[in-house]
Amino acid sequence: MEHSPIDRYARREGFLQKIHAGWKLIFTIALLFYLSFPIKSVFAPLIILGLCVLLLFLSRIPLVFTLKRLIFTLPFILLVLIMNPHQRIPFFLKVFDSIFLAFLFVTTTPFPELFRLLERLKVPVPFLLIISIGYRFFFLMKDEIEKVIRTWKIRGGEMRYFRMRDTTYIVSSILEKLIRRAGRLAIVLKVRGYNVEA
Amino acid sequence: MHIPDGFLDPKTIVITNGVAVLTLITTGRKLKRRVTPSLASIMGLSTAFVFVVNMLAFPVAGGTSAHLTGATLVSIMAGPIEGLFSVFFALLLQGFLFHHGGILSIGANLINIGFTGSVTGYMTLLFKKNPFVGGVMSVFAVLLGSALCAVELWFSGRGNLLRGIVAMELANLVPALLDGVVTCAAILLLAKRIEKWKMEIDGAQSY
Repeated sequence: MEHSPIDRYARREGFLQKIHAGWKLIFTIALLFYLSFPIKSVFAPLIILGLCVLLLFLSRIPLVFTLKRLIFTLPFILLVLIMNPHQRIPFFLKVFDSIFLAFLFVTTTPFPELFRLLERLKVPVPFLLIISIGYRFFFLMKDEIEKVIRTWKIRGGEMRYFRMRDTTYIVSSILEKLIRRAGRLAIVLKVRGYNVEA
Repeated sequence: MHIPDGFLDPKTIVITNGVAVLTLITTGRKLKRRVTPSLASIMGLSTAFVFVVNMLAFPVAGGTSAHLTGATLVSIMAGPIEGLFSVFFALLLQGFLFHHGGILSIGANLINIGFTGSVTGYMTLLFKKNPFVGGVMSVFAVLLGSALCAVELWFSGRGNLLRGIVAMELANLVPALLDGVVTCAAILLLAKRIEKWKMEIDGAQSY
């Protein structure tokens, strides 16, 4: 049950970490919008890629961490190359740059700062609460899945073949536990005096 | 079904995000007033559920992805507007934190996954949460969403419309059927329990 916080390098003394989240968001969106225009040469995407790499080093984000985070998007990007025979390289660079830009923004911005930014953008407080609950539940769900599978294996279950009965047992017990957790959370919110108007 | 950034052209980005923002603003006003502790936690759970099932994706035609959506199920369990917002929050977290989907393509992804799930969820509610109807509607939502995804890519000048639709429908057929089975089973097992639980928490006296 190891969790790797996405914003673990957000508090380092680096270039992007010092810039306000709002400015970073504007910069990211502006570059993403520029990249959405049809680009025929590799020149502009290469400059943006170079800029991303420079910002990566200035922000002191380890290269191994970056590669690990970006590697799971590779199957999708490779398919882009296969499916787009014309202008393969510019298109590949465009998509890769877009992912890289989003990665830089998120990695250098602490999670609470993202929430403050959303608050300033007038996102209602109940919605922020739901987003934060959803984010936490994601990791809880991961933990529950691991726990249930481990219990099931200890009891002699095998994962070698897909069996409807076993899958139903695993899925239903995960949902059951999560609903119980959601119930407890709702009671905690009520006890702490949660108010829609607050 | 998730379209990453860099795939859509500016006109498609503006149109899809415009439609999404207008819908979220109009429906969000209603939702904001009725968020209770039980609804907040069930929506948080729905967000995480959509998040998890969407992450189990495999690449398909044109560089997008095929996966279960869970959108119809959450719209049935929490309500159509609540379901739409749960999908939106899940897409926000995915796009920003896990780079699955995109930031500027969030409007298109919300139309493909959230709108279709919300509408089919609402239609299932009209049939009093019939599990079979829920399952069929869920299959329909995934297939409709993948067709819309192909239309958006075509509108952005990426490939042939007919070939795109056929490829997307074929790739999403198995995930759609699985989504239908999961929705049907979940309605059978959980719908009444969630209703009872919501009544217990929101109906209880303050502590």
